[in-house]
Amino acid sequence: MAGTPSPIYTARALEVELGGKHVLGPLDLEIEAGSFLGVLGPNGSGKTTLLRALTRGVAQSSGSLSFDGRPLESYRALDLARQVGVVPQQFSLDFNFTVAEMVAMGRYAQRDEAADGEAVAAALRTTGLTALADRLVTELSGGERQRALIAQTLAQRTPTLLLDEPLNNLDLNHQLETMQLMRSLHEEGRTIVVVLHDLNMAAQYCDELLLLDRGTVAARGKPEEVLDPRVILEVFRVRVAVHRQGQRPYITPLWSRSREDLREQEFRQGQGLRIHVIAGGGAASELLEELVMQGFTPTVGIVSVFDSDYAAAQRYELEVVSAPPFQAFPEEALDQHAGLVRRAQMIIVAPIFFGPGNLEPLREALRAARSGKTVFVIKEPAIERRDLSGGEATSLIAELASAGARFVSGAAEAVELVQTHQGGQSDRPQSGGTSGHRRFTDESGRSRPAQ
Amino acid sequence: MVAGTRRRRVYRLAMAALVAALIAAVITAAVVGAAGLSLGEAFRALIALFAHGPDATGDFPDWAPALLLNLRLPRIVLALIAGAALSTSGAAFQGVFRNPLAEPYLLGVSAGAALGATIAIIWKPIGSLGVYTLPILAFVGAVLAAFLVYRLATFSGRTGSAALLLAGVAVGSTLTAITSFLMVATERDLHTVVVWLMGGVTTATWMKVYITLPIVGAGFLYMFLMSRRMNLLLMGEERARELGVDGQRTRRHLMVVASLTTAAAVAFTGLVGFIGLMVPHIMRLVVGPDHRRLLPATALFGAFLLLMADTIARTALAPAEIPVGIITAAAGGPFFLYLLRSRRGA
Repeated sequence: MAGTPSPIYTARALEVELGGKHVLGPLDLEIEAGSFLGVLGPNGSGKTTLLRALTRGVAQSSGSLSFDGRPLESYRALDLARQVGVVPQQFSLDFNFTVAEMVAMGRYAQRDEAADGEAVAAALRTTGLTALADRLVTELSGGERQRALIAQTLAQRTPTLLLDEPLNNLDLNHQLETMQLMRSLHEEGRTIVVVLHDLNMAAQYCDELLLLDRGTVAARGKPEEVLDPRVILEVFRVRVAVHRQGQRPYITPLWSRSREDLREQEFRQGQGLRIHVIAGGGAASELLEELVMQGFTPTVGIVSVFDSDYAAAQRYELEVVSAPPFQAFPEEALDQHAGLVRRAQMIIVAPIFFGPGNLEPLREALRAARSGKTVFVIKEPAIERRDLSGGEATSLIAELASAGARFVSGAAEAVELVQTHQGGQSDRPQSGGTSGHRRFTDESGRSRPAQ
Repeated sequence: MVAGTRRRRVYRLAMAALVAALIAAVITAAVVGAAGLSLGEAFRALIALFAHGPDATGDFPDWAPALLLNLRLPRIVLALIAGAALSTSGAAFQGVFRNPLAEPYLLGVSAGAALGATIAIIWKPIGSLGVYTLPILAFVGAVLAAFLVYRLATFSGRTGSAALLLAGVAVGSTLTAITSFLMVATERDLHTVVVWLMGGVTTATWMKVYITLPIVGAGFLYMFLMSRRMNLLLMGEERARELGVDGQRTRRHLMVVASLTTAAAVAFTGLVGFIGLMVPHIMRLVVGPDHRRLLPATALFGAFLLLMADTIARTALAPAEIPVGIITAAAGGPFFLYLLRSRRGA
C-alpha cells in the first residue's frame, strides 16, 4: 500500500466500564488504514472489550473514539456495517437456517442484490463451506459454525475487518487457513484487526502487534519488538525464549509462575548462587537451558558471537562474555571473564572442544578450583576426544581433578549437584532460600535428591 | 444451492396449498350453520350473492343471501383477520425474543384487554356509550398494559428480554387479579365476562371488520417489511447491529406494532389462545425460519385455523355455540406440551 497511512480508528483517552467495573483504558490508539494488527494479552486484559468498543458493542465511559474522522457513535448501524465487518467471539443462532441463508444475512447492509449471489458463493468458497451450503446451521460442528460466521462477515465485503479470536474451535489446518485468509485480505488492501490468543500465530502473520495488560497498552510494534521476553514475563508471568523463524520471531515458554514466586526469584537472583559456565561450540546450550529452567541465572564465557551457546545466553538474557570469531580471545574479554569467574561461587566446565585459542578460560577454572571454589567438570564425551590443543587441555583437566573439581557425566547431573550444593550453602540465608527453593522444585514437578 | 431451491419450492407449494385450503374453508364456513339452510341452498345463495348482490333470488329462501352477507361473511372475515393478526404477531414476538415459546400476549396485552372488557361489561354507565364501548376499553387496556410492561422492563435505556418476560408476568397477574375481583364482586355479569374471555367472533359485523382490517393490515405490512431485520435479530441484538440493523430500535418497534396488532384483534374477538403460539411454530417447520416466507405463510395458516375453529365452534353443538378459545386451547394445549418435550430432547 503506497501513500501515507492515515488512521482509520483514533482513540483518545478511551475508557470503558462494564457494570461499574473499569475494564479498559485510558487508551490512546491509532489504527492505520490497511494495517494488519494483532491484539494480544492475557485473559481479562481488555482485548475483547477493545474490539467491542471499536464495533460499538460497548460504549466508552470517557474519552473519544473516532472512525474515519467521525465520532464512532455518530454512525448509523447500517452505515458502519458497510465499512466494518465483525467476527464476534460469541454467536448463537438456534433457528434452522441453512449455511447459505446464514451467510446471505451478511449481505443486509450492502443493498446490492445483483452482487448478493456472487458474494455469498465467494464467501462460502473461501471458507471451504460450499459443500455444506445446504446444511442446517443447527447441525454444524463448532468449527463449521465458526467458519460460517467468518463467511457471513466476508459476504459483508467491508474494507475493515475486526475479528475476536477467530481461531476458536478451529483445528490446526483451519487455523492456518484462516490466518492465510486474513493475510490475503490484508494484501487486498483491507484493514484487519484480530484478537488472538496464540502469540506465535500472531507473530507469524500480523504486521503489527498490540499487547494489552490490565486494560492498557503494554507494548505495540512489530512482532519482534513486542515479543520481548521481559515484556511477556511482565504481562503473562511466563518466562519465554524468543527464537526466529525467517523474519518472524516465535516463542517457547520456559515455565510459568505466580507473582509471589517471581519475587522469590528476584530474591534468589540477588542473593543466590552465582554460577559461571565455561561454554563454547554449543556444548553448554542444554546445560544453560536446564539451569535457567531451575531458576538460576548463570553467567557465560567466553563464546564467539557466532556460537550457538552465545545465542542460548542471549535467549535467556544471561550475562555473557563474547569474542569475535576465528581469532584468539582479546585481552579485554579475558579480563572480563576472569572477573566473572572471580565473582562466581561455582563454576561449571561444559564439554567443549579445546584448541590453543580457548585454553585460557580453562586455566581460569583451575585457578578457581585451587582457591577453593566448587568446580564441576562435565566429563563426557571424554576429554581426549575433545583435545585439539596437543594434550594441554587434557593435562589441565587432570590438574583440575587433583585441585578438587568434581566430575559429572552430563548437564542433568551437574544441575542436580548444583541444587544439592545450593541447599547446603552456608554463606546465604538458610530459611528463606531453602524453603523457597523447595517450593519451587515441588511446583516444577522435578524431584531432587534428599540432602 | 439445493436446499435453497428446495425451500423455495416448498414455500410455493405451501402457499398454494394454504390459499386453496383457505378458499375451501371460507366456502365451508359460509354454507354450514344453524340457520336451517341446506348445504345446497346455502351454496347456491353464496354464488348468487357474489354474482348478483344481496337481492338475488333463486333456488333458496329469499333471506339467504342477506343472512350470508350480514351474518356469516363478516364473521368469516373477522375470524380470518384475527387469526392472521394473532399468528403473525406471535411470529414477530418469537423472533424478537429469539424464543419459539413467546406469544403475542407476552407484554400483558391479554390481561389488559380482559380488564378493559370486564370494566365495560360490568360498569353500566360506561356501557351506555354504545356497542363499541367494550372493544374500545379492551383495546385501551391492552395497549396500556403493554406500554406499562415495556416501561417497567426498561432500565437506563435498555430493555432486556428477561426483564420483559418478568414484567409481563408481574403486570399480567396483577391485572388478572383485578379482573377476577371485579368478576366475583359483580356476579350478575359473570357469564358474559367469562364468555368474552374465552374468545369468539360471534358478534361480528362489517363495521368491526372495517375497524380491525386497517390496523391489522398495516401491522402485517410493517412486520413483513421488517422480516429481513427480524432474521438478523435471531442472532441477537449485537450481531444484528454488526450486520447493519439497529437491533434495540427494531425490537422496540416490532414489539409495539405486534402488540397493537394483537390488541386490535383481541378487542373484537376476546382472548383466543394458542393460535399465536402454535401457528408460527408449525409454519417454521414447513417453510423454514426466514421471516420473508414465514410471515405470509403464518398469516394464511393462522387465518385458516381460526376460521376452522370458529366453524367447529358454531356447528358442533348447534344451535349452541362453544367459545372458539376453547377449541383453540384444546388443540393448543397438547401441542404446547409436545413443543416442550421435543425441545427438551433437542
